[in-house]
Amino acid sequence: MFKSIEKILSALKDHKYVADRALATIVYLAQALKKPILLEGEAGVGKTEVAKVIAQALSTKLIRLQCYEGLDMSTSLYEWNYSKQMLGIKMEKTKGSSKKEIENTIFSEKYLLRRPLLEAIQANSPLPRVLLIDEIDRSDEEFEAFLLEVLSDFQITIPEIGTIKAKKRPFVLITSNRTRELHDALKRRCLYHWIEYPTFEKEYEIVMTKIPEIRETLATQICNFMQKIRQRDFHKKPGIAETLDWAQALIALNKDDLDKKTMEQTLGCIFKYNVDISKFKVEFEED
Amino acid sequence: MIRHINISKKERLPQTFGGVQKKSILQNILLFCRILKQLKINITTGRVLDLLRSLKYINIAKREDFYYTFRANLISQRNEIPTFDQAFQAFWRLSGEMQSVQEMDRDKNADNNTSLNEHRQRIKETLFLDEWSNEKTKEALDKREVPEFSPVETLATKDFSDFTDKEIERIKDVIVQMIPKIATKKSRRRHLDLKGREFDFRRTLRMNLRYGGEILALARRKRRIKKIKLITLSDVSGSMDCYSKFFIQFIFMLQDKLKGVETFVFSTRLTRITDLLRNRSVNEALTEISRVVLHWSGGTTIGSCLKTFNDEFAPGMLNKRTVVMIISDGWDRDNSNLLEYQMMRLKRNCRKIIWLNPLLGSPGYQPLCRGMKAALPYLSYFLPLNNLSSLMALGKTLNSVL
Repeated sequence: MFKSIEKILSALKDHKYVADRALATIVYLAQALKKPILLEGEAGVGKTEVAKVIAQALSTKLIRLQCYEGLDMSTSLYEWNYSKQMLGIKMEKTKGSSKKEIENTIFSEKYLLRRPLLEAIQANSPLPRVLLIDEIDRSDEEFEAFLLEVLSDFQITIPEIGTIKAKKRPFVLITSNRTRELHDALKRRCLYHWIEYPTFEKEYEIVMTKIPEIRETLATQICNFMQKIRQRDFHKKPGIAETLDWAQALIALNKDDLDKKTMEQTLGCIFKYNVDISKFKVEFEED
Repeated sequence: MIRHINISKKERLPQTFGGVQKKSILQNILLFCRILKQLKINITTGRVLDLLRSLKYINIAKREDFYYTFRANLISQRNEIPTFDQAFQAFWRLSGEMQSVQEMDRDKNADNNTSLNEHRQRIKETLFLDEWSNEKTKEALDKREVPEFSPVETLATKDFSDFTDKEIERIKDVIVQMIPKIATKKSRRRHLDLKGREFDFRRTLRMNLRYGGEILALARRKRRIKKIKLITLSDVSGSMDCYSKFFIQFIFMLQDKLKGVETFVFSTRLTRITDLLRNRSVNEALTEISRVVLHWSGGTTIGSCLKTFNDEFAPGMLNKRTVVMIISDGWDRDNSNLLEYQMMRLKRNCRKIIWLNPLLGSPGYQPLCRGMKAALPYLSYFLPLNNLSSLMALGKTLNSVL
């Protein structure tokens, strides 16, 4: 477990994640209060990345639950392996087992398909796991209510087996892209953090950390450019992921300097929509 | 926008503290939370308790940590942050000494720790509510918008009894008939249904245990019906005046009967009126609307109103299943590039856009005005809405779309 906010900052940095003190503070509080963190922010600012890095820093496993519409208990918590059970029944029958024996066999842990949430609850290691619930706004309200239940006690009941309670509460991170409003009850359960687009200094640090071989002048040019772009009104503003992609692309092209031609050739790294590319070409004619 | 409140003399704190005792900090924190609550930030007791627990783990002398601890515990939405920041800056004004205080040991029994109390005494904390409460309240009162009744304003001043009772009844009937058929759409969730198309494995297996594993009975399930969202943006400027009678009634009923409908009106500005339409009769709703919605001239700026929608409201309520319905004649004072760009943004984030244009009912009308022309490529449906028959046709369309 992390011993202080400073330790968190340095641990994250060791794993090549540039965090600001706000994020480190909230991670520390989440650990102390055993509350989940709700991370919101624009696309590509590093929400999912945080979870991965925290897991690495704590030397523990990351359990990831990717949300989508229609996600429910059987796909998030557990499901019985029906086909295996049917075969099992047949086999037991030929052995001549009684109904009770059959039931005991097919409803045992061997026939249980563990989905991420159950994995997180049943984790049997000295270190608590990191549970990432990614893009929860893509799931629906029923799932949120269900999740709330699980998050409050970290205990579930499988009728055929019994109650399973988590020995160690995992460290929970929930991310959202703000495509819809989350339920109040869920928001109240969590510590909230909004990750903004990075400042020039932060983005520069990120680029230098992740791509150490880049020349400083190029990095400066790239970051300056990104800052300007994000101030304009594009359909999908590029995030840090795009910045890094672009930097890698420029290095691969052996460019040390950013000129207009190169920029136009590599626009696809930054903008993912044709409208944005057109808009860029029109607006930045003077650049 | 901050809604400002008056802090009574009783609640105002003494100007400076010599040394800070634990109890005073607690009082200040609670007062701060109360203020936030009045600023419409959702503060619950649980959160305040968590906040107090959190403060034990950090160095409260470090203003950054102090701030982020508050924010993490009390805020749950990005748009609450500006309000929170302003309140925080104004409330917790700390003197320079705070910054130079050495680190405190993090001690869980801080309450009883005498060295900690000493430490706190060394901290000179100046907490005061500044002119913040009085000055800004005055500012806010001055800025508060007073609705004006201009000659062009049509909604409230036009006598609603122009709508004959018979007309109203007919319209209501038509709408009521239309509505149940709308907004029943299958989602991916499933529930038990004897005639469903998919097999429900879980139930099947359980049911067949008694038959020793042979499948004799089949449990089926089908997709559950889920209500779809509809967003209506209505042009209420002068040029739309004659038609407002029809569609206001229509929208009112639509919102009343269906779940998941959001309603907006616009002329030179966009206003959300979903809440105004709830729990009211049509007349009351109209009065409320005209009180809240301001019209300055007869013109419309569709482009910038759509931009407002896309920027402020769309992230929270638009998804790929939503249908957007725009009711306007397309006369736009803005430049059509803006409208086109906003239409493109809108189209990307929703399922379909329906544009209802009352002028379409007139023979010989062609969408030649720049606004309408710019928007056309993005529309899934372009329909008239000037009389009952067009209303019924709309019903059929909505049926198929929603």
